[in-house]
Amino acid sequence: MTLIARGAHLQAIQENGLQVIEPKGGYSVKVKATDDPSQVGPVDLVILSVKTYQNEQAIPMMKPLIERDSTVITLQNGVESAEEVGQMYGPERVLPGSAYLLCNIDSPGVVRQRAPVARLSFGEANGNRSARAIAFQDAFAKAGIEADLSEDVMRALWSKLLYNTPANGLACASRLTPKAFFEFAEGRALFEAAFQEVASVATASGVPLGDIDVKGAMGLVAQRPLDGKGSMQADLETGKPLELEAIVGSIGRIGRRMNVATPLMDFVYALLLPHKNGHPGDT
Amino acid sequence: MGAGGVGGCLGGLLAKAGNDVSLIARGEHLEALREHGLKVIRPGGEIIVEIQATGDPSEVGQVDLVLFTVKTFQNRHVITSLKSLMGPETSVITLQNGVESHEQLSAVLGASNILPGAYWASSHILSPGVISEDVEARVSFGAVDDTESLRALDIRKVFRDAGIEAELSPDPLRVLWEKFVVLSALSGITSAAQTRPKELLQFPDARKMFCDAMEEALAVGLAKGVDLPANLVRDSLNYIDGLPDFQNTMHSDYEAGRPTELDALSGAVIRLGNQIGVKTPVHGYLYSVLLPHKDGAGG
Repeated sequence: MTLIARGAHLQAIQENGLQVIEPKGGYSVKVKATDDPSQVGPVDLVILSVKTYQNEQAIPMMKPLIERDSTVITLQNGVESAEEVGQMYGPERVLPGSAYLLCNIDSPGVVRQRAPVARLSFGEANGNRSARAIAFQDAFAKAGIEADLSEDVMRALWSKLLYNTPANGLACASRLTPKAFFEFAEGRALFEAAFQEVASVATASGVPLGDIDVKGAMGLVAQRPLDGKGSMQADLETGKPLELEAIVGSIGRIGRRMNVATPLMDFVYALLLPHKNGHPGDT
Repeated sequence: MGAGGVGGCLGGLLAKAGNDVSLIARGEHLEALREHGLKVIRPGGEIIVEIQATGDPSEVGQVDLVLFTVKTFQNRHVITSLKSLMGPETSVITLQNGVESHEQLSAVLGASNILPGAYWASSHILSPGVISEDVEARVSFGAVDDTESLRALDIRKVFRDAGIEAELSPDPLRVLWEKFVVLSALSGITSAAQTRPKELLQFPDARKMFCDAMEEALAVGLAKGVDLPANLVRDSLNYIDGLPDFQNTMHSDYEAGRPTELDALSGAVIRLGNQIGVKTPVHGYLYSVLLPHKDGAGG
């Protein structure tokens, strides 16, 4: 097990190990860490969990990790990661996946889990319960990580995006938390329109999401705490780069490929473009 | 009426030229005007002028000309107070953003005295009693029915004698709408993006959104029978591209947590579009995301 990291975080992990703070407790662990995959060599499993805007750099960097039997599990926002990895290393190598947890780097070498929920969902793109998928699930289970083997993993990814895109996009556009914007009738109407746009694009790309999913997503926003921010919204407010392409831009991009109009997501995307690469110097 | 960027600048220049001018203002700006006079910092120098200022129009009595320059969101409270300024020969020039002011005033004061106008410049209150005029003021106004009245000609002369570029428009509604099409779109997108025009319009997606929003306002104007040029959107885009870097006023107001003129801009595009059956989806989105902030921070 080797972590690929950078900068002060990497240095801290190399010197002091990795510290994980959990809602109830936590632990420290010595772990190998490097910023150079060629020092690691071929592995059985690569977990791709960089921010999506780093994929263009990170995916080619994975090359020394990959040999004939290597597998890549993608645990990123959006629905395009598996395709991006597949283009370079072959689609058969990739198990698309999704992480349901709220974590961030607290300080170099220290990762904080901010909510008790921590779950992975992954699987073969074709839904098969393959030997390798079962083996990885076992490995996760032995480490105490709840990981579902999904028979329709693209549906899991789209379901997550269905909620994530409007929750982050509209919060950023309105400069309010999702729930605060949802309290306005106009905000609620935009949420519904946004969920419907994402559902239409999902449906056109082979993952049917319908009114019941839209209704479910509306319910999730309604139940959010008033002060709960989306991750992209937090990044916007602190001047960090945004996962705008994976979370918002992807809807318009895939929509155009499938001939589905996405005027609201195009609008949100255009508004946020100037902030996509962050504003270094802002705090 | 309203001694902010527009009213303060024009009022100061008119007073400097020897006209009997009263500024109607509020708060610490009013206090500063009374104690220290008005300072206008112009592109080519600055003027300081002793000037009458009050918070109560009834102290002024009847006048020849009212320049109506409060922010549009104050109209509801302010228009009735104009009555004490109005005599049989009093003219009112509206120099507000939006396209509805002259109708709102006409409803209360009668249509015959109201001259719709537009103010082209950039000026704002720098500090209490001090106006900064970043681009030289230009005023365009006229009667809705194109009567080139002696009164209007007189007013133009008074402006010009005070060094204010003023033109009489045979079709003031066209002038208002030409400004409105650009301003409603630009105010909305730069506020919602929290980005100045120069930076925002580098992005093709943002340029498209800007043009779509202008097209919507243009379509509403045309449907209402306003005579607007067909190439207005392209020309307006070129015009904005040609301007030096600046920040839109609504964006400044939004950023500073002040009330915004959203209702007179995107709000009006939507309202008038609904009345006449023209769809305005981009302005609809802009209105929705900006609505929570329209009354300012904590509003």
